[in-house]
Order: sequence, then structure tokens, then C-alpha cells
Amino acid sequence: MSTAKKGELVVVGTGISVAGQITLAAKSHIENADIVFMGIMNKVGEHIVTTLNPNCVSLDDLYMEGKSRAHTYEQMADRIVQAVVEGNKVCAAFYGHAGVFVTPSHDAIRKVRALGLSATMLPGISAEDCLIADLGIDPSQYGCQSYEATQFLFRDYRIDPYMTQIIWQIGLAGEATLKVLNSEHNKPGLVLLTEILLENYPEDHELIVYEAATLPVCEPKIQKIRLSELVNTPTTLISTLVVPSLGLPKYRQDRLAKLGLTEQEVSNYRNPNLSEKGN
Amino acid sequence: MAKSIEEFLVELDTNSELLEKYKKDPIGTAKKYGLSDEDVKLFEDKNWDELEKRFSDAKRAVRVIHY
Repeated sequence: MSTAKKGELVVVGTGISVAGQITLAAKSHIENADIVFMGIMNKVGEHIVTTLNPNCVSLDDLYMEGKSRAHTYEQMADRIVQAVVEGNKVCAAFYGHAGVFVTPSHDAIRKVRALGLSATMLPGISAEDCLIADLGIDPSQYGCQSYEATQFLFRDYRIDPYMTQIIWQIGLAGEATLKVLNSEHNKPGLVLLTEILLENYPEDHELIVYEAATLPVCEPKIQKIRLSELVNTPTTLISTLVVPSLGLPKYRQDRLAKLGLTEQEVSNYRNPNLSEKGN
Repeated sequence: MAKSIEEFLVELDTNSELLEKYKKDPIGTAKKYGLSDEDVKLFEDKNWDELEKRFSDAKRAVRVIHY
């Protein structure tokens, strides 16, 4: 029987803010790992993780201007997997939620599992969670469509204007080479995005350009603009575009009828105080 | 020895009592915490751009490919 130690992987998120959004479970996995790989965009977050476990390795040296991010992410995943193969209890800590808008975390988990070894991901606090809290948007109110900006531009998606639209990474909108690490070249992407949105919304529709706060002394950046102003709105690599809903769509009478209901009935159920006052 | 800004930011992000004190009196709270005069000045000037430049790197924020 082999006594060799089997490696394993746990992927955790450290939240968007510097320290306060790490879950107790994530903390514990960081503390108990043989080695921790960090993909954290702020030095304070890195400081926290290295305080919990001194055996930390940053993945950030793999980013380089002019290098394809596809290559960067592959190398990140491979670095993590190699440590697992060597028999280590590995923790990979990414800022935000480790599974939301993170290619190398999912790749690493797939590769480790393909080797017959254990790999799990813990939930964390993502930028979307911060957006919901800061903007007071409940995604269930109108329904919500959420896309990465470049994918949204390149693919044949359909906007439902009655749903809230959340379009991520508008700072890289239309950037196909994957070699750019700044938001200075997204104007053609924003022009196209505006054209698509104008098919569904009036030009004075109010949009929100949002950035979550990462430092506790800073407020989130919330800029309200008209759709017609989007093209000339400065963005960063962490800017997100929120397109509020046009309102709730009409009830589908045919579907209500199939359930033996009428619009009046469901309105009464939904607003019991109003219907009671009417009685 | 002066305490580091990293420690102060971590404490502000995880200690609601300190954050409340900071909101009422940012400079006094930063000084009392033990930051150096140079670091206190950042808070005094509300120089968040410098703070973000020193501690954040948005280039490392992008981590996904989908299209």
C-alpha cells in the first residue's frame, strides 16, 4: 500500500474588499494549506493571506503587457496543479469569488480532478454581490442578464430590456487579442455596445457605470450617465455597466389561464393590503 | 515603531468600531492607531489615488476569457 501523501486542492475567494469579506472557512483553508497560491489584486489582501500562512506564492508575476492572457491563465492553472501533483495540500486564493469571472480556478479544478485527486471550490463574495448591495438592485425584481462585455459583443445574444443588464469588463469591450491590460482601447467596443443598446432603450435611458470599493476608506464609484454618453465615459479595467430594466413586462394571460388564475387574482395576492382596502 | 497602513486598512475593514471612529475623526484615529506622520498625511489629504496606486493593481483584476 502506498503511503505517499496525496495532494488536494481547495480554491477560495478573499472577497472584493481588502480583508473583511474572507469567510471563516476560507481563512481556515488558507491557514491549513501546505502552500497557498495567490491571485489577489491588492497588496493588503496579499498581506492578510501571507499573515495567515507564510508559505504563499503569488501568481501575479505571470501577467505581462503584450502577453496573451490565455497563456497567463494556463500557466496559473498549471502552477497550482503541479503543487497538487507533488503531494501538497494546496489552497488557491483569488480575490472576489474564486469561481466568478476566473478562468484559471476552474481550469485548475478540472485538471486536478482529471488526475483523480480532490479539488473543491468554496463560495466567496464577488463584485456582483457588492454591486447588488451598493446599488440596491435585487436581481429577482426584474430578472437579470449578466455578460462579459466582449463575449456580449461577439456573440448573438438577445437583450430582454425588461430585465436588468449587467455587462462586465467594459474597459476591455471588444478587445480580442487578450494582450491588452489597460482600458485605453475600448472606444470601438463602446460604440458597438451603444448601438446594440439603442436597439432596445431610448438614448436618454439612465445607465450606471460601477466600481466596487476595495479599500475601506473609499466609497464605491457609481456614475450615472445617459446611454448617449456611454461612448465618451472613461472606464477602467474594473468598470461594470448596469442597464436598469424598462419595468416589469405585462402578465401573460394565456399562462395565467392555464394555471386557473386571472391577472386580478394574482394582483390581489401580490398586494393583499390594497385588495383588503378595496373590500 | 509606527504601524503599517496595511494593518490599519485591515483593521478598518474588519473592526466596525474602529471604522465608526475613523468616519467621525479620520486623522485622530489614524494617529492614535500609530501610523507614521507621512502615512497620516495620506488620510489627511484623502489621497485615495495614491493609496490605490500603492496597494491595488487593476491590471491583475482581469482573470477570465469567454468569447
